[in-house]
Amino acid sequence: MKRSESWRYAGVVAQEVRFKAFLEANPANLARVKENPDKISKALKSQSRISVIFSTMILIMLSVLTLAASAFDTELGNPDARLAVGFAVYLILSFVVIFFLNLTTTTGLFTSGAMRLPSTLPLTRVELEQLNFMTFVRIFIAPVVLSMVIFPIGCLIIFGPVVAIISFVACASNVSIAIGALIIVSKWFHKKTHQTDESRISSIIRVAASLGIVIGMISVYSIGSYLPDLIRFIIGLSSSMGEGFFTILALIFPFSFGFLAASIAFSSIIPFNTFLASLVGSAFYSLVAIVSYKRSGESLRAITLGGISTSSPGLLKEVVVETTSPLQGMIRKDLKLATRNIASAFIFAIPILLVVILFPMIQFWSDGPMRSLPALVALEYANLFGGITLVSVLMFDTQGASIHEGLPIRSRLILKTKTAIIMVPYALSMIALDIVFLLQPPISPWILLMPLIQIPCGYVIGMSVGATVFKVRGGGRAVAVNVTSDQAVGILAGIVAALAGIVPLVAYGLAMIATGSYIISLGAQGLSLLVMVLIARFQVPKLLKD
Amino acid sequence: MVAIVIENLVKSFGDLVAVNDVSLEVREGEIYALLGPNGAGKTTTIKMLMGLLDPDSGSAKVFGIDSNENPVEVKNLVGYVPEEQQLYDSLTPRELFNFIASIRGLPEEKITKRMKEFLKALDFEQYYDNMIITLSQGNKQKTMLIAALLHRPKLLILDEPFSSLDVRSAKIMKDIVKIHTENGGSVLLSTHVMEVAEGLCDRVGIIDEGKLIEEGTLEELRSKSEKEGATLESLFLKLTEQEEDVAKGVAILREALTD
Repeated sequence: MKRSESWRYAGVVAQEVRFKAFLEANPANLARVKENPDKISKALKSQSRISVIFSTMILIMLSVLTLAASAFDTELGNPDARLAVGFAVYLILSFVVIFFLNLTTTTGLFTSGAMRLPSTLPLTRVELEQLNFMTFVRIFIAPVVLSMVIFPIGCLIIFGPVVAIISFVACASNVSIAIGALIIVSKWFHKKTHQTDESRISSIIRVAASLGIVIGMISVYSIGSYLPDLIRFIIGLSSSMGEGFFTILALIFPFSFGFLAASIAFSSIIPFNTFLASLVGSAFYSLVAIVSYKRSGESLRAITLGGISTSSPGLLKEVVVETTSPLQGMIRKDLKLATRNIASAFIFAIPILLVVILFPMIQFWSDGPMRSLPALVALEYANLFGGITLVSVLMFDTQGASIHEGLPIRSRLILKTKTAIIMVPYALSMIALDIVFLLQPPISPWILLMPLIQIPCGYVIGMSVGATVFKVRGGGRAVAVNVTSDQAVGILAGIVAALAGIVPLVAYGLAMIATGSYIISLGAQGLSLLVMVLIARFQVPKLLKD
Repeated sequence: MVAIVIENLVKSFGDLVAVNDVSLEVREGEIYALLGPNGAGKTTTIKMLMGLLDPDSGSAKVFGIDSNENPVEVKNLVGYVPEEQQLYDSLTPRELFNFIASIRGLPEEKITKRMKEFLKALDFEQYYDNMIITLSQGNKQKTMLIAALLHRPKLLILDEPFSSLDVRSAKIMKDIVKIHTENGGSVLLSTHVMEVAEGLCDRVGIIDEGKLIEEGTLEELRSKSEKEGATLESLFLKLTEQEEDVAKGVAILREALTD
């Protein structure tokens, strides 16, 4: 088979891999795919495009921010240290970008079984391996090419051709090591999320892995705001430990490449020992990258053609059917589903996401001590997130439609379950906001009570958003929704959550304007919330039908 | 008492009348097969019976309970296996059955004993702790069947239940269906496999283009279509006026395969 033919066929296989990864990342797609395949296909194409645009934007942002800080921000330290550390920070962050942005797609590569059909065709082993490799290249080509081009071009413009060449070698090595790590971790993650030994440690690993991945993704998107601080922190820390520390750092990946580039650009400043260390380190890590490249190819072949064993070793466990109350049974089931899927695990990371987004915003809003208004705005953001969390939880049930159809489950039980689940991240969000308020010292300690009083609003938001979605999409019956292909539901959930959650905040604000008393304002917030909880408990379920 | 009473049931999707004035009864202790070509309206009828779809007009009752008015109570009485296998892929059968038993409020000890019996009979023990996504179609089908039988329902509604089962499991399931009716239970079965309907069912209803065109025992259908000793397959093709289409299709294929 000619390489051009192999490239063309690899396009078909890569499309299938992306499709499977799309399904794997969001359980709701699994049911929707039969219902409306065109819509899923369009969503997939648009997601691929968005993914490329995101990768490009993030890599450009990281390159520009790092190069600007390295070249022009004199407050960060000496120019050699700035270039060395900035260079390394870019490599670390692009490593994270390549790793996290492609994790679900790589997992999809393992589950897709996309190579099974070609393996039944009259192709030789060499042709199959070539097809396999081409598929992998086609999947990862966009972020790989981008990360190897954008930063070196920036280096060429600012620091000249030698630094640009070093940066190209560094980026290529970085990509190779990142992909090697990606394959190992994807393999492990896929195994852990599909393995079902019931041990507590295994469950903890699953939740921690899901949470780590989601937090990693969030960090990538928000790292730009903290990048100069990161460079300053590393330079500051290294400087405080003496000049010898830079030499040690020059031996560590990916600082070796940074110090080698700085040694070329600022040869008169960098000590010879540091230059030598960076040269040895860079040569060593380039070698590691070559080995990683070769091993990745072999590992990929073995996985895609042979699969990953997810069977649990050991003896068969005793058959026992354990029962609980219907509500607990539903919650347990939903939590199990949530920990076995990256997209579903997102709900656990909502409080962290909220803090990452709100912390710089609160700092910007509050000129001086924290007052009531920024606190109210922050709480309203949390309400909005509460609505989106509820819709994410509603996505779980699209997976088990056949089971649901036969079970005597009342719509109000489903609503109560979903509400109970979202109350946890909502309460954690409120506690997280309290910590943020504490970091930006409030004008009165009473302000710290606002998020705590708001906690029961999670119940109001859950019930009102859930009932609205059931009414709009199911005519009052409990339905599963898919936010990725039904964005209108996401918007609706946000609006309803914002409207329901703002009532106690408005009560607080009006009482504050009228009386200027924190105690009366908090009382108004609590009282209005109590009324809303009662309405949610007794009136909202009347909107539902079985 | 009659297990199922469907009266003048009508359901349209836009211009398409999927179920058109269907009336039928399934008696207690009876196995009733609903037969029909693809898109005939079998699954839509069953979905209305389960309270999953609202009928445009007419009614469907299970043991006197209206499916539209009280679907939850209907589901308490019914064990349902839908045509499509959309299970919780990320759960194991153990987790799934724990969930189902919790929702149905079944007693732990009794249900554990019953589960052990099911698993042994269906040779399913080794898959009990594997994630459902990793199971074969046949084992997924077994999972669905166990889920439907777990609470010993009075009525079984099975939409294409044997399609993916191996010979051993299919035979066991057919026997289970028979035992179920011997104990007074009823079964409504939708299937494409004529041999299953012929060998298992007491009465047959043939549905085509949304209408129940004929029903009765095999003997009654033979006499109505004046085909003595005919198999259910040939009766079905005659009653649904597909005999000519089948002959044409076979002729075209023969030509294509001998070219």
